[in-house]
Amino acid sequence: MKIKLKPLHYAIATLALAAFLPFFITNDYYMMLLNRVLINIIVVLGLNFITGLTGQMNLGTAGIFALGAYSSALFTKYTNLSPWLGLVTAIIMGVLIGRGLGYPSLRVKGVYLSLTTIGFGEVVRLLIANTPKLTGGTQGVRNIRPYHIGSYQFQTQKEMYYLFLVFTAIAFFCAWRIACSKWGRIFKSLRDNAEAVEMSGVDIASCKIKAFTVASIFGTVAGAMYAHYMGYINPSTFNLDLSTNYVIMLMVGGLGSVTGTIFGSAVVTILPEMLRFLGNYYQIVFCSIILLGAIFFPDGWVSAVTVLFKKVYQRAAKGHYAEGGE
Amino acid sequence: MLKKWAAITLSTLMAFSLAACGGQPATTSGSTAAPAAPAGSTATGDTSAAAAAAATGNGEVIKIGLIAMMTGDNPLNGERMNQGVQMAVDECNAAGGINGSQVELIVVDDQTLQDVAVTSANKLIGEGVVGIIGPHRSTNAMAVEAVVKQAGVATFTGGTSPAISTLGNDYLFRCRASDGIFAEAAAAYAKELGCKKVGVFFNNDDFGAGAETVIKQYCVDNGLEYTAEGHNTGDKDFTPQIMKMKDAGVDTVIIWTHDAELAIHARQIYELGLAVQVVSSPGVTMQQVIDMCKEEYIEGWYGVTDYVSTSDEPTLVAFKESFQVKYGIDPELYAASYYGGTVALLEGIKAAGSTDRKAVMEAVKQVKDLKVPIGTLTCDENNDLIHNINVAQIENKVPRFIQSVTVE
Amino acid sequence: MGTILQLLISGIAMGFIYALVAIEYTLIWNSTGLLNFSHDKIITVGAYIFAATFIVKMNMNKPLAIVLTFMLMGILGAVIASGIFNPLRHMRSNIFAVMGTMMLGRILAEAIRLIFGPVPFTIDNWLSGTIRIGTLMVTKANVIICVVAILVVIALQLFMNFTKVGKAMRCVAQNKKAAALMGINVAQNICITTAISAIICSVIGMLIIPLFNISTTMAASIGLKGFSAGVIGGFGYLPGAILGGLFIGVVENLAVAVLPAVYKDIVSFVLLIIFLLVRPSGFLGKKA
Repeated sequence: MKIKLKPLHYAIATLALAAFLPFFITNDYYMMLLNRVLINIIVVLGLNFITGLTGQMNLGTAGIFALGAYSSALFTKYTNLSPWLGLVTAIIMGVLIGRGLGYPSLRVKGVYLSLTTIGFGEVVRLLIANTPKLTGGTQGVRNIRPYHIGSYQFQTQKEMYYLFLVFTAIAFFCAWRIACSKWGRIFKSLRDNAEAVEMSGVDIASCKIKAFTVASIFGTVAGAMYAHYMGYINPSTFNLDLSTNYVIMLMVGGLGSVTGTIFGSAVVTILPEMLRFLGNYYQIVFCSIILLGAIFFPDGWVSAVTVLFKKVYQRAAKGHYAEGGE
Repeated sequence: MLKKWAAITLSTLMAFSLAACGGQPATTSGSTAAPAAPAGSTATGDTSAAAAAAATGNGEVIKIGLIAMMTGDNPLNGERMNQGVQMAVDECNAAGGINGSQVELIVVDDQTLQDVAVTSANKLIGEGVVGIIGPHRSTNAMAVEAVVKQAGVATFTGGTSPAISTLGNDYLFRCRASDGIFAEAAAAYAKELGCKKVGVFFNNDDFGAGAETVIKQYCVDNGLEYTAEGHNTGDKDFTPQIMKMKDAGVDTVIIWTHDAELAIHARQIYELGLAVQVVSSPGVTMQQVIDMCKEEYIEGWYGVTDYVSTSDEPTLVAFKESFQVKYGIDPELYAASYYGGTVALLEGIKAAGSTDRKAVMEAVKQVKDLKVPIGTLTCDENNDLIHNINVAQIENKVPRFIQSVTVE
Repeated sequence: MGTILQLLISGIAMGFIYALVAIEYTLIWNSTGLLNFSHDKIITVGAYIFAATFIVKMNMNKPLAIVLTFMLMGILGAVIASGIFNPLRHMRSNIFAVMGTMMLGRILAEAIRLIFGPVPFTIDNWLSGTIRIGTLMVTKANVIICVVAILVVIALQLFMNFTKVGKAMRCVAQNKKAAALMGINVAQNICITTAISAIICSVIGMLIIPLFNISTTMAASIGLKGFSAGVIGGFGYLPGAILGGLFIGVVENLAVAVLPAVYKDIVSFVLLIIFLLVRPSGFLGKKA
């Protein structure tokens, strides 16, 4: 008797696994890595809407992330209100950025868009660094308060993990629903053939802007989480390398794949740490692995594994038929 | 469906492999902390206390950690940090270790990035280190200070931002002088040289911007005319800034930036004809910067620094000779400062008599008049260990020691 | 007045450096449709090979070192083309090639650090010295860069218009399918183009040694500004690269005469964004 496994069952199973994970981890170092992975998953879920589904290049994710982090941090610092309101500020900032970035993306395509987004990311970083009176400049913002419910503060790595797990589950659910909905299908078709979509009577402009807005909201929310998690932020973190890392996470997970974002974020966050035993060579080995992955497994490493399984399965099946001779 | 199944399985495998690794450090140190700890707040405390307690005792190895910037945009300085700290550890072990136990140094690279510095600190704490040397950059030190405070591990940074003295973190010690001292000494020396109008070239990162604030305050307090021009790390052309200074008619220039930018400033100041006396941040006394400049570019420049290679102070000379024997090159300020910091940590562990992290921190707080290559270490109420800097002048491409300045 | 003139001259001097960077990446853009984000690291590799290996380690005389560096960089370019550009340009999205070049850049930077060590250095008596005209100053290196940039553009134009290989490159740039149908080996052509681009990168690397000294980040800022220069001057049009480079160099310098100097980098990025939004084909480029 075969039980039809619905996606909902997968989701519950994964969530349960994730919830029990901290019981097996005693080391704060590993908990911290998991928390990082959760934040990165949310960013990449957002990036997926721009680059994965609609196929537009975005190399300015660090700028979006930075604006989310700074808007929440500065809001809570200057108004002394709860970090949850900081989160709301970040969402509003996300909507603004989405509109702001969405309109240029209509005029600018392909490689030009990648340059524009790089420019955007750099301008954000430089502006934050050079307005010390507002943002603290290069000295950063300190003493950012962690999230709290009533008087219970989310301080330790484990507490943060559960909070972030809730955020990530919500984000994942939203992203998945959007990707599977009418909008998701339009986004995917935009990547494959924008003219055909236009001819079908869909307003591409508003679609692209919607994609950017959704992506920016995810990015700024993750940024706010990051700020209240680290307790201290400064602009040098939000550079082109960070934007590149997010795109790598997307690539490793597979462009357009929502579930792939989990894997991609996990790999790019955890693999360099796992490779530290290589001493001086761990950076170059990590970069080489990613490069080889980009050349040989462009659809993401997950697809590579499934391809492998299929091949093994087919070979096994062939062998069976050859023997049975039917 | 297969794809989704594969994705979830792979992610879970990855996380479980983490868990498997995560199980090891706690167990190798012999603790019996149960893996199924309640999902609550005391898990950190349990692990670190258990690990630290298990490592006490003779014959066991005492671990200390180093967060060095081996990759990133200043890899040379990270390497020198590593060499200085390693030498201190080796000398200690050669002299019999601490109370019979050998010291082991665990080195982690923080890529000069804030995020990785925090991860590195957590990694070292998880491995049961008794103290941490580094990270170097002030921003990285500020990023990790919350982590080391919560875990209760004595940490020694060489970051010079004055903000570090205001953190109120018992566990964060500073083994180089604060910019409050460096920059103020530079400004004071400029005044001593008879300056009336000061022009400051500063790098707009935490290092330069922090110093600029201090210098500006000094000038305001002492009636010196003041103007400043900033630049960013990675800038390669400073013609606009230098021309603006020329037009402003300054009679002394103070430069506060990193090695690469210093070398280019030196060349362009000479070429564009800004012929005034110059007081510089520590970089100009370092061999790699001097090598990048022609003799006429930096002739007569003054520098405020931790370490002057031509000083004849006995502790420094002994350190210099041992370093040359061990590594075949001359030491410089990164090696010397962090060597001093390591010596302070090791003395603290010895004085504490155990590897209990809190006891070590208390012992380091008691450090007084400990002689190290860059001066004398005495811990004050802000956990600043050192209060003197040196002024040197470049003559024929050699930094000549002029005087030592102590600030109480 | 003297200040403004000096700023103009320095701006023009930097502008020619940006122009050379724009030229080398425009070559690759024209033939593959890809942006080579690792070009600043290739410049650095060129400088390191020239300085560290030939001059410092082997103590060769400079002309021989230059020739050998060209040869090695040409080979490096061909390897990059066959390893990364050719496999990746067929992908359905440009993102793979872009990420491939970025990863390559990081690998090159790490390789430099591991092979040559992290100590920044310089070489003596190489294009050093200044030329003074009244109160104005320009370094000899800058003058040589200016001359070399113009020579490179002329040489490339001649090459593209009068040689068989050059003409083949132009065909590949216009329409790869048609070029292939005409019997041009597109993959081989891309290798040659990348090799030439790498050689130009090494020229840049050698020429900026007296100005920026040799370190792993010596070319980082000119990489991104080179992109701006190419876009502004006319994306894909070689003489436009010089115009774009000069424009950025001069505007940058003049802007920080009035703004605080820390905003210098922002100026070039803002210019880039404005041009991309308003006139992506730049000053001289043909409208797509």
